[in-house]
Amino acid sequence: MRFIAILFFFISSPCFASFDFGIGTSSITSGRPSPALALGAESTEWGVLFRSVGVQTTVYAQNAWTLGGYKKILSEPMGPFAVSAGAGLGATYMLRAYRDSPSASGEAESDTIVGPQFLVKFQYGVFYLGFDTLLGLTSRVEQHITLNFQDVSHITVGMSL
Amino acid sequence: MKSIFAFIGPLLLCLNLHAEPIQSRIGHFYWGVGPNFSPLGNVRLGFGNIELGVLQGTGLGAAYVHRTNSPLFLQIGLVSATGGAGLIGGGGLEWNTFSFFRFRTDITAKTDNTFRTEGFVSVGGVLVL
Repeated sequence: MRFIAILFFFISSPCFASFDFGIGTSSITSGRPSPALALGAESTEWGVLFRSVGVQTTVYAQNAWTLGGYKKILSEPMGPFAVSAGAGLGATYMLRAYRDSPSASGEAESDTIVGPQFLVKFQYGVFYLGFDTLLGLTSRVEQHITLNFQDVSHITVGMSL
Repeated sequence: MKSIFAFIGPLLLCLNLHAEPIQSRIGHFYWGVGPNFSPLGNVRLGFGNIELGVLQGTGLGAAYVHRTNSPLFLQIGLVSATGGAGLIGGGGLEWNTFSFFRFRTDITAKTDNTFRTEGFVSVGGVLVL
């Protein structure tokens, strides 16, 4: 109910020019065809995005929520398509739970990943194909020097209204 | 240094402190290293806006690169990924370092037909042929 109220607040806000509703794949659940929920809102210069994905079995569960804000750095036509790109900051909160058997008690762990986020959208009419990547930073700077990040990527399809 | 460029590039672009537009689109060879400086991050032959070769350190494929009037470019393509055919997309930055050479960084995401999805950062250079 709270989520619907927040969603309604964003939709009714005049500062956003478009809203994105989609599903997609996520690097969080690589190897599993678990759809990710993709929501977003954009003004002419700025945008916010939200991604949610999760899996659950009898012995483990993993859920992740990503929230990001970005500045639009490109918006122009590409043949019959419209393309746009954004760069900003994002964060992912990840929750994992394990247990040895369905009757055993479980353990839970969580992670927070923060870093620069990049978004690209290819749009045809109201339909879009989007690619977004959050390059999660860690305290081990040497990892980033060798181009290693805790990347959280989503590829989504949906409608932009 | 490569990592710093990967971060500062988009930041400078946001601040409109970008380089001159890229004019030459005849043909080029792009080589970029991936994570842990893996040498086959991106090895592509470019013909206009079409690039063929190794994409995102995954497999062989083809990408359409949409260049703009700034160092920023977008790309979308198909690649033979681990799980089968894959879709790749993202963007990057190119700077006209010399008339025959561009410094380039790519940030892409890829999924294949098993929905294995991953991001990728690549840094390298483009030799204008």
